[in-house]
Amino acid sequence: VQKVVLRAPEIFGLLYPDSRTPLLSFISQLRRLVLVSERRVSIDFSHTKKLYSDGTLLFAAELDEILRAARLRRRRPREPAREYRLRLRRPVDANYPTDNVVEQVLQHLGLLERLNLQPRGQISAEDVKHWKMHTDTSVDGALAEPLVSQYQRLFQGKDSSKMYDGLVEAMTNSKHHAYLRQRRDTTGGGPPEPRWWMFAQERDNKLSVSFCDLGIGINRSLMVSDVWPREQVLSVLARFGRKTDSKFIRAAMELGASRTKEEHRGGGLRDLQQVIESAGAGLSLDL
Amino acid sequence: VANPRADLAVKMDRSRAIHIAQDFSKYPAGRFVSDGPASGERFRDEVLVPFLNSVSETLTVELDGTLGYGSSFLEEAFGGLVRERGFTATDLKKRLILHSRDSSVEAEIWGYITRATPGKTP
Repeated sequence: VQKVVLRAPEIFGLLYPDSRTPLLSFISQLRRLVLVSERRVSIDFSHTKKLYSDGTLLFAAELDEILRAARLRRRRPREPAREYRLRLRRPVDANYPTDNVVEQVLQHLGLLERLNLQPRGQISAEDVKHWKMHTDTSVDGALAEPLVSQYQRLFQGKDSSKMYDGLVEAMTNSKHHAYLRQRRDTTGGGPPEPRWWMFAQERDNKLSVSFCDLGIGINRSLMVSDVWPREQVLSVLARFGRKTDSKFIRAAMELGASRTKEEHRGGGLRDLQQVIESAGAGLSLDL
Repeated sequence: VANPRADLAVKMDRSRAIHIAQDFSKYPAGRFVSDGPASGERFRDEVLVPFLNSVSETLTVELDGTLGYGSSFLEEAFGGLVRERGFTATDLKKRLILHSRDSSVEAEIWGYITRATPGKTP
């Protein structure tokens, strides 16, 4: 059975619709081809020119999840044993990118190896060297230490403990709230694994930190969580107008401050907010 | 994470102070034992409660030296004393001395202890 060649987008970025829409479509196609159609896929990176941290983090997380779920697939009736083995072991591969910096990023983050490509060059691009990615299913503060050290170096005199608090609460939030149900576009793979992905990039004395889970999303998690009564969530949301993801995050922060039903839960987002407040003008939060 | 059970049995006999970074972990994080290796629940049940039960008077908790504290850790460790382990806020205010260079951490902990409702499990 021939592999399906899937062309990767030119830009991996989530901030603007021009790049977000093609990236989300690409990831969705990859999921469906591997997990629904049960095809082997080869990603074509020939046209990829720019990797931003948010889009790259999402791609890395989705790729991890697709590879995990693909390994749980059963043999189809009359499927040749060799094809089945390949589908389990190498469900997704790729060609080397034509853009050298893109290749360095994929190599540095370990994505080339996950796509069955051997690392073949040195990491020479200055900004690529400072990209860091961690993933785990545990709330382990030791994993935040390298980032806290980076923060201390860049924001001398600022309280780095707030950065630590924000990171470990992001891990805790992911574990407690993100995976309460199966995601709607699930394509199998057993019960959800409460995994988080963290990404840091230092460039021009600026530290960007992205945190990602592949759970049900802030809007569904607010609605199905046992922390706040549903009526209270709806009442806070009603004041915010159009229900975008950022409005749900704002609602969660407001609910966390008010604390009613489960009085001891739901304060984690406040820790994230305090990271921003403690650094003052040097930091911003994109919701 | 230190091995609290083994190390602290000796210390409890002669000390009225816990240094979280030394006696438990530099990386306290998470609420429940199932969250990770240095959770608030684990600190409460393996360190804080045995210490509180072993001293009749005051217990000092030194909070400095860790990388920080998430609110989930602090709430489960200290609020959980009232909610899960039968201590009262009044008793803890008499017996517990918190020490940190960051006074907001102390205030946050006292807030969790004061607001906790006995017997209300997560």
